[in-house]
Amino acid sequence: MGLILCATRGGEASFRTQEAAIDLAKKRGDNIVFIYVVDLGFLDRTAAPIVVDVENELDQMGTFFLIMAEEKAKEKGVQARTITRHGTVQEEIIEAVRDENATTVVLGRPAGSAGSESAFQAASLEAFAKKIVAETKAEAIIV
Amino acid sequence: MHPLVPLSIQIAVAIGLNPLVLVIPEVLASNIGGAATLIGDPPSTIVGSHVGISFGEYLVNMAPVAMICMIALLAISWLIYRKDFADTKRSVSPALAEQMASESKIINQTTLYKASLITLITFIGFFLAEFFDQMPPGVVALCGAAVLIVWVRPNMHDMLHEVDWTTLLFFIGLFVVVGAMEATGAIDWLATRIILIAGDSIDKAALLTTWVAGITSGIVANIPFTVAALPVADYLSANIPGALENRLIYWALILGADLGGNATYLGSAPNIVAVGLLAQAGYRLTFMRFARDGVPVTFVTLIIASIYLLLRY
Repeated sequence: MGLILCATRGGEASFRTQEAAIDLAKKRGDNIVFIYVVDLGFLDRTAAPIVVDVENELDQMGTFFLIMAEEKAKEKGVQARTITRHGTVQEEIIEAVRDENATTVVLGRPAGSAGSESAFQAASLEAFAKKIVAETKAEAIIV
Repeated sequence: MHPLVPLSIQIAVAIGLNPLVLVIPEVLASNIGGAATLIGDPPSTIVGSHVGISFGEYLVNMAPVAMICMIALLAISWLIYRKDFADTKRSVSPALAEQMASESKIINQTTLYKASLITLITFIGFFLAEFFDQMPPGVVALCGAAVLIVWVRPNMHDMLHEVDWTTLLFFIGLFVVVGAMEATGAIDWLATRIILIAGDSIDKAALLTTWVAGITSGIVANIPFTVAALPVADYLSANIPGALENRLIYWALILGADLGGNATYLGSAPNIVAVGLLAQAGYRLTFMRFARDGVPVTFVTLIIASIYLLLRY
C-alpha cells in the first residue's frame, strides 16, 4: 500500500485535484495525505503595517480546506489524513514527501476559469514535477 | 479587515458561494469606513497629523460622508451580487461547522478584558486630546500601548517581530523624497499649475484635489500619494482665499485618497493583502476583476464626496 500526497487549497482547480487523488487512491488501495502550505510571501508586496496574526488566520483557513478534502475522501472510503506546513509551497511539498515517505504526489493543473487557479502556474508545473521525482524518487502525477 | 478575509473565504466556501462575492465588498467597505475616523486609513492619519486635526473634529466632518458612501456601496453590492446570494446552500457539514466554531473561541479572557478596557480609554483619550494642548493622536495611541504592555506583559521579543520595520523605513525614505521635491521647487511648480486651473475658486480647487487624488490613488498606492500631495495641499490652502479656515483642500485630499484607493487592487494596502489571502485559498482575484467592482464604486463614492464637500463647505 502506497501513500499519495495531495497538495491542496480551495478553489475549483484544487477541488478537481482532490477528486483525482481520491479516485487514484481508491483504484490503487493507497492512503492519502492532504497538505496545505501557509506561504506568507505575498505580504512582501505591500507596504502596509500588518499587525494582525495573518499566519494564524491562514493556518485556520488551511485546516478548513483540509477538513473538506478529508471528508470527500472518507465519503469514497479512502483513508486520509491532513498536514499543514509553513514556508515556500514547493520546498515544503518536497520536504513533506520525504517526511511522510509518500510514494506519489498529485499536483493540480492550473484552472482555465477566471475565478480560481491551481497552486502552480502551468509553466513551472512540469519542472516542479521533475524536481520531485529527482529529489525524492516519488512518482509525480499532474492531473 | 485582514482577519475577516480568511473567515469570509471559509464561510463562502461552506455555503457554496464564490469567495470573491464576499471579499471584494468587504475590502471596498474597509477603505470607505476607514475614511470615517482619524485612525481608520493611513491617508486620514497622515493628513490629520500633519494639519493637527483633532479626533472629534475629524469624526464630525468625515463620518457623515463615509456613512453615505457605505450605503451606496451596500446598494451597488446588492445589485451586482444578488443572484449569487440567492443560490447559496443553507447548511454546512458538522465537521466544517465545528472547525469554524473552534476559531470563534476566546482563548485568553483576562487579556481580552484588559485590552478592551485600555482600548476604550484610548478612544476616550482621542476625543479628550484636543483639550490637552492639541496632543497628537499618535501620542495618545502610544500611551495606550505603553500601559497595555506594562499591564499585560507580552513577550516583547515577539512584539518587536510584529513591528513592520520595512514600512517604517519606507516612510522615512518617502518623506526624504518629498522633502527633496519641496526643496527643488517641484511641489511649488505643480501647485501653481493647479492654481492656474482653479483660479481663486475654492470649489474648483477642492473638486480638482478630490478627483486627482481619487484617480491617482487607484493607480499608485494611496499612502505614498498622500505624503507626496500634502505639500501641494498646503500650498493651495495658503494661497486660495478661505481654504485655510475650513480645511476644505485637506478634506478633499483625504476623501480622494481614501475612496480612490478602491478603484484597483493597487490602490490601498488592504486590497493587496486581500488578493494575497485569496490566492492562498486558491482563488485568483485579477486586476480587471477587482476593477470591475472597484471602479464603479469609486466613481459613485467620489461623486458623493464631491457633492458633500460643495454643500457642506
